[in-house]
Amino acid sequence: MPEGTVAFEVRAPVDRVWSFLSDMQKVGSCVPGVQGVEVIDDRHSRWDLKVKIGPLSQQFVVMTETLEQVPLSRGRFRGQSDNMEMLGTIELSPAENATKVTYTMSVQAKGPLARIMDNFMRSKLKAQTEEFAANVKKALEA
Amino acid sequence: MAEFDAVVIGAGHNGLVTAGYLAKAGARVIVLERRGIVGGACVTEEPWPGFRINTFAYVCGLLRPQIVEDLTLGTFGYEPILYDPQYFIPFPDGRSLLLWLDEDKTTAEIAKFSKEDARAYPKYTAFWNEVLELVEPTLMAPPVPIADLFGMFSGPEAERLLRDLFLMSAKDFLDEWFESDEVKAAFTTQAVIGTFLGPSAPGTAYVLGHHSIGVLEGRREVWGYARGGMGRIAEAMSKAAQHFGAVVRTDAGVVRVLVEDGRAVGVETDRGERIRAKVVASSLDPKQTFLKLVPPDAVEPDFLHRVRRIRTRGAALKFNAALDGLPTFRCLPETPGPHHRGTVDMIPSIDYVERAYDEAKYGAFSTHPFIESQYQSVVDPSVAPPGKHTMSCFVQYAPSELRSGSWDDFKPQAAEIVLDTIEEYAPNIREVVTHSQVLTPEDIERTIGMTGGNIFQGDITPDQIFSFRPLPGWANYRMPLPGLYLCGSATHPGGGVLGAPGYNAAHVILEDLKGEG
Repeated sequence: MPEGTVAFEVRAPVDRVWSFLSDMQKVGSCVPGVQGVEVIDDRHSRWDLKVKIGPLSQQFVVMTETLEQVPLSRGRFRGQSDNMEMLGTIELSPAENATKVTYTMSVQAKGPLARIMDNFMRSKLKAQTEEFAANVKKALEA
Repeated sequence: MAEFDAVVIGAGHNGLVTAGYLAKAGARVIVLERRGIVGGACVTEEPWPGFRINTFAYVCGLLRPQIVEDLTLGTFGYEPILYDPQYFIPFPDGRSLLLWLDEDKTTAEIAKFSKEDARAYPKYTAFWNEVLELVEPTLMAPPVPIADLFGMFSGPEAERLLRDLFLMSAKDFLDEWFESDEVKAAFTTQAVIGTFLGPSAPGTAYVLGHHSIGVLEGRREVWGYARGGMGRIAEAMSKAAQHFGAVVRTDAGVVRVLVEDGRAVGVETDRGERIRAKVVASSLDPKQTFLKLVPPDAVEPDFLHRVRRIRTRGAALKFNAALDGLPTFRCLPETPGPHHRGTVDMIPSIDYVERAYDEAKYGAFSTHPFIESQYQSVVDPSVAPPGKHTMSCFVQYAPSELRSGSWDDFKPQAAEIVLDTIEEYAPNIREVVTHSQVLTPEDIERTIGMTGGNIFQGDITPDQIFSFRPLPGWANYRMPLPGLYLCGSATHPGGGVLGAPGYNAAHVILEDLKGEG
């Protein structure tokens, strides 16, 4: 399963980072390609995701579910669309005047194009997780 | 009981890649090669003392980086050299065009011919970069059904791309991008090279794309040399496969695939030795495999009928030479100059290429062929004695069979046509050539078993790619004879020194071996 991990520090206290990253509206807005987020209830949300593959664009509706939330420490969520499943993990730990965040996103494509989508995601996930990190830092350090 | 888990027929680069991955996964593998050296079309030989000649394949760049990494080919002697400029195109009127690695330098060169084309060039390279991003994930996986693939192409932009890539001729495609005949000529070689079609044939735009999938030293759409010659790639693959436990045997031609109870169970060599294995992977093309090695009653007649109709027409001959010095080009007399480092394409216009094809399609060698040549010794002195040089010329069009006469009889005349053509650009060529060899499509088939001398083991036109390769219904490397697999360029994603067919086949075979327990 293609997976990308990024570890980064945010210049903000852990409670503020937790408050941001436990809110799926805000998490969604930092995921590259997410065009819109609709929070359905405490555990579920809907993301409109646009993935650019070379010159082509693919649109997906991703239904997310929060699987685990350990306040100030760890959160896990799952996303599902017709053609892919994703699993996101966010881990927090306090650092000096900052919070260390480790974000892991793994994606499993489904259907007839699964293998090539997996290959595509394998080549993209590193950049995508790094972009996520940059977006979170920008939002919290602004 | 099987002596081996897998026997691989042919030690071409794909056969070696298959063997390497199988052995790395713990399978017991033997590779059998008819010739005394490994490499198939990816060989370097020494026909004249001290001159290491790339007998057939001559540049690297398509070899997938993942294979280089997984098989640690660098530790076994593979070292690519990225050359710059990438292309030098001399024109008969004394002008020339250099395509550099640096986009700005190339753009400035193109501006000498057309300012409009210079503006279009960065968009053109960006277009291919984007296409590569789309195509790359498809290379290292078995092909998906073409209908599913085309399903990704929705919306006007995507439909345009579908049209451009799969339906257009290179000529029409390039006409949409550029106005200068010289600039279009510069990009035409890659659209027809090795393909028995003229640039006006629909589908040749895809061939252009196929040759844009190169990645070397982190750069896309580039070509390079393998230090010491292309054979070093195959030698590195062979050493890697052996390092992981494979047996690689040369001078061991396979004459028969052994079939028992409707299943391939091994092979028989030209010395009468029978080697049993759970699976047989043939890196030869389907015609060689099914029409020469597999007993005819082992597969359905309809399948054999379809195999016979795969297009494997040769398109070119190789003219290799040892040189006392370098050719001096009329348009850039500096010798040696930067223009000797990379590929030199003698291709004055698209119409010139089309006319060259016109002659060949009726069975004649082109009287005015286009020539793609390299002087590797300029940047890699290890391939020639001090002060001497090597020359590799890929000369197109040369049909698989001549309408009249034999290729063997025609060789001296073919050599004269090649030298006459080069002489138009570099008048001293005859003075510097000390030795030469002509390898016709017949020689290519005789020596390395590529049917018709087709360098891709079958044209890479849209009707013979992805799930159509080698045949619709049989594109996942498993063949209709259980236990038999194809792992060569005849399978997805096709020809060139990519290694991807061998990689994909190995993974399918491993899945099946695992299933057998």
